[in-house]
Amino acid sequence: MKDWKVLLVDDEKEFVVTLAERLGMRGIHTETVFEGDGALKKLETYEPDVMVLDLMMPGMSGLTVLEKVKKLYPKIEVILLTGIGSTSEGLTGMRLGAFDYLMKPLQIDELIQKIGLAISKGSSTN
Amino acid sequence: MKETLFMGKVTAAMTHEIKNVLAIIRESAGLAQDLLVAAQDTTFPYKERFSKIMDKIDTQVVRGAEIASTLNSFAHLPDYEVRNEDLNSVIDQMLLLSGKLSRTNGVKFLIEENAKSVFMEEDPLKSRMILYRVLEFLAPLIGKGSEIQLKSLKNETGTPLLGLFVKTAAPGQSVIERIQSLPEWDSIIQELRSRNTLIDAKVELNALLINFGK
Repeated sequence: MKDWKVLLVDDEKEFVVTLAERLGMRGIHTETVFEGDGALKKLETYEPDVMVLDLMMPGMSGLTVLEKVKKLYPKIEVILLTGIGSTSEGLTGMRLGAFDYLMKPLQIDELIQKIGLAISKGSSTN
Repeated sequence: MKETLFMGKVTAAMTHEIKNVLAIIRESAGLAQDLLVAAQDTTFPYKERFSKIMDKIDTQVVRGAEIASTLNSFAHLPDYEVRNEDLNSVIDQMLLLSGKLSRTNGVKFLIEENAKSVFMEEDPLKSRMILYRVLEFLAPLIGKGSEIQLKSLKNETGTPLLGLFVKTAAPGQSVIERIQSLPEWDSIIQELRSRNTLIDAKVELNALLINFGK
């Protein structure tokens, strides 16, 4: 878990910062970004194992970010965060290459489990 | 844009905001719990109580998330003029959204467990509006402590029906017979008829049956 690198992308700053602190307390190195454009910029200098990406953000949507990430950084696994009624968007995201999706509010243990599975998948395919 | 579509659109957007608020509450409560565990401070006298409070917060977050999800689906109903759906989904959704109505009147609304699917093609907003209206009519009349069991049924010709079976707190009392003698009963029959819906009183079953029609 100590080697895991995660990037959280969500425009809800309070949520992202708090979640990052909780993941950090569990030994997971976590960086945060609050917008889609910013996420792509961040990837130029920081390559995480997993990106946890909110679908509903102002500016560049989560699905657009996902498409670009999968094209430019195919090794990065993406876990989507969906709101309500957006299960279909989660499924669309998986068709576009997302590893999985979770609904807010999250269960941190479930998120960590998914991150672990995503990393295992990444290491077995790379 | 139709007014109902507008209302639905705004409400649905707000449910996303509610979920974000709940997510922040859950993470903040979780962080407080994490910090308490990390501190390993055995001198803090309220450690156990603190944990219980955090659990309560989490339970309410789950409850709030369920309500927000249901409200979101409800807000999307005006997107459909007609929809083929299981009557049990209508019941499920409306029971969750009728919690306040149930508590205010001191009655319980129950759904049959493992109910068989009964599909019908209908205006999804209309069917929910009618069910809510009948619950609103019935709940104050059956007495505190009573129960209304909601069941999806079919009549002998295969027409879907929604049954509201009353179990009163005072056994032996024929509530449905009494309701039929009230002036409000005629009013609700007329009101539902104006929406192409029939309501039938079955005294022997202590039940009301709703036929949503076309």
